[in-house]
Amino acid sequence: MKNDFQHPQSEELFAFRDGELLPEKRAIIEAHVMGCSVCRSFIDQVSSLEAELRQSPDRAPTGYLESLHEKVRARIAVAASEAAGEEAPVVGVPEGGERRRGGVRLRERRRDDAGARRERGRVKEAPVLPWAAVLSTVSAAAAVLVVVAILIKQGPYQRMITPKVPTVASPSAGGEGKREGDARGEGGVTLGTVSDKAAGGAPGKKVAAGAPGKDAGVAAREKPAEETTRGAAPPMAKLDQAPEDRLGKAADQAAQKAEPAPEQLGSVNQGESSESRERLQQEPQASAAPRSFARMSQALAPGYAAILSRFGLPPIWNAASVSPEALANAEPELRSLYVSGAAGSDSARVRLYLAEAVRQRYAPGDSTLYDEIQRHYHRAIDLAGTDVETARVAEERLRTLGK
Amino acid sequence: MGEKKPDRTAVPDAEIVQLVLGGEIDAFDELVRRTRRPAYRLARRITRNHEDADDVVQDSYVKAYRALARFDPNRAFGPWFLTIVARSALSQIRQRARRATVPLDEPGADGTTLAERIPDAAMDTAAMQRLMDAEEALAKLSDEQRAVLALRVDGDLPYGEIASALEIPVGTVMSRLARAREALLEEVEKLRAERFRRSP
Repeated sequence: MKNDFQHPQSEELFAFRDGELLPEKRAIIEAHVMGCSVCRSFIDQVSSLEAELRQSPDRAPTGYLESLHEKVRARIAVAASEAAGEEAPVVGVPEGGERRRGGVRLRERRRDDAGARRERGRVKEAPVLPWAAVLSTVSAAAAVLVVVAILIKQGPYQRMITPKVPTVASPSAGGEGKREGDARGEGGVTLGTVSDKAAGGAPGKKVAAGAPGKDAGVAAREKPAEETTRGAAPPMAKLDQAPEDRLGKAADQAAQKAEPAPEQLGSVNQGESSESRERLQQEPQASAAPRSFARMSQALAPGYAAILSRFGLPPIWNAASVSPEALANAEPELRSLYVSGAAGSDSARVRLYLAEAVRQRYAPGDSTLYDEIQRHYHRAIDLAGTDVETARVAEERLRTLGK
Repeated sequence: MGEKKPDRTAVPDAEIVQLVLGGEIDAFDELVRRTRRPAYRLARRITRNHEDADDVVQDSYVKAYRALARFDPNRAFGPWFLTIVARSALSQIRQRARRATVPLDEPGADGTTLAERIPDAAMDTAAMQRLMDAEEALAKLSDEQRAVLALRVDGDLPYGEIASALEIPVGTVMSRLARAREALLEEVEKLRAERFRRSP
């Protein structure tokens, strides 16, 4: 019969193979396939290819999937607070529900204190764990100790203190940080961002458990090495390998603002020679350079520098010196640069530019663009690392983003 | 002393969704744990680079969280979530459509090339070559074809779910999937023929 020699359409063959045909049609196609080696071979080849594709590795950077929770938690916490609206009564509790966990008010207050990007009074919190109160107290204590230590170091008290302790904040902040880290480790998971803004860390990220034991000095020693690798390491690789210690980072950033350059801190903290210790005591102010400035003066990634030069843009976006036209023209190239991975240590700055470029097209109510802009800002903050200026601008701009 | 995180590994999706809707937002972690690997795989397959895939996955979880009240508890969370991932990924690649073409063997987030990323110690050379051919052929398909194929191959979604994810009729899924498979096969054959021709 003629029909026996007509092959079914490939749509039908594949639907048969995928079990998507209705019984009647299935019987017809099955009868053909059973007697047609050409169709069987065709199906087999495609099946074989697909099996190979299924076997291919995930190709996710090491640790990425494991760290995904934290990023998602931070995003969900923001989404939850936004969804709560202005007058969210009780946080994280279903209507009419009885559950209320300790620390809710503390947490809300902490957020208010932080003046973080989430707006005041719009907090629908994730369930809060009891140790949040401990964390808050310890965090505040650590901040006070950092400030006191800075004052001691810079002020006349310095001379009254033994020169064996020339560094600031390290022992105290580190000690407190350790306890916080332990508390978090025991406490498990929280979904909110915890006083990150107040602490100076980038918002939107949970404080990593276990890590906060690192003191400011250790952080300072490690940061330059990290920056060295950032030029070569793509942005996500950096994120993945660094479960961020926001409290440690907070102390670190506080140190950046008032303390000598990182190499000095590093040498001091590592039990340096008395000679270098003396040098540090004699001229701490002269060589004091916040790391942010050090970062700003570093060489830009070649591709990034070329784009900036071509469109007359400053290294970090600012409203005063970036024209809308230049930004719109530069956007495609900035995107290509980012996707290619060639933005390197300037990835945060590229994301900030992209946020602003998209923001130019944004009209209130456009949720797609709103989400994209938010994503760029969040990523800029995440990627900024020691580039505190970029993180600061991104945070400020994120706060002013109206829906 | 903090609270110990409850073990929810054996809790059905629908119950976890109810927990989250009831305010136990940390239960969402379990949904992330269950779906992160196929979600990333799908996003990566469609977007073809880690940074975009990461954005897509994170965005998709936020979208899923926001839409959780509309989740049908009679369904599994995974397929439902993958449809969100697919839409987000397609949206992402459409947004970047006006960018320069991303080279096939773009460096990954870790700076390695495709060839460096694929190898598996357990895989023999011939199998590795076949896999690389398949990946390369897949990368040559159109975005729409790659998306529909990824949803079927990586997401293992039925046609109806794919149609829902891509917002196209089931008939279009059938035809697009068929064209994608034919094109995939053709590209692989071309690659193999080319290699055979060049081999000494």
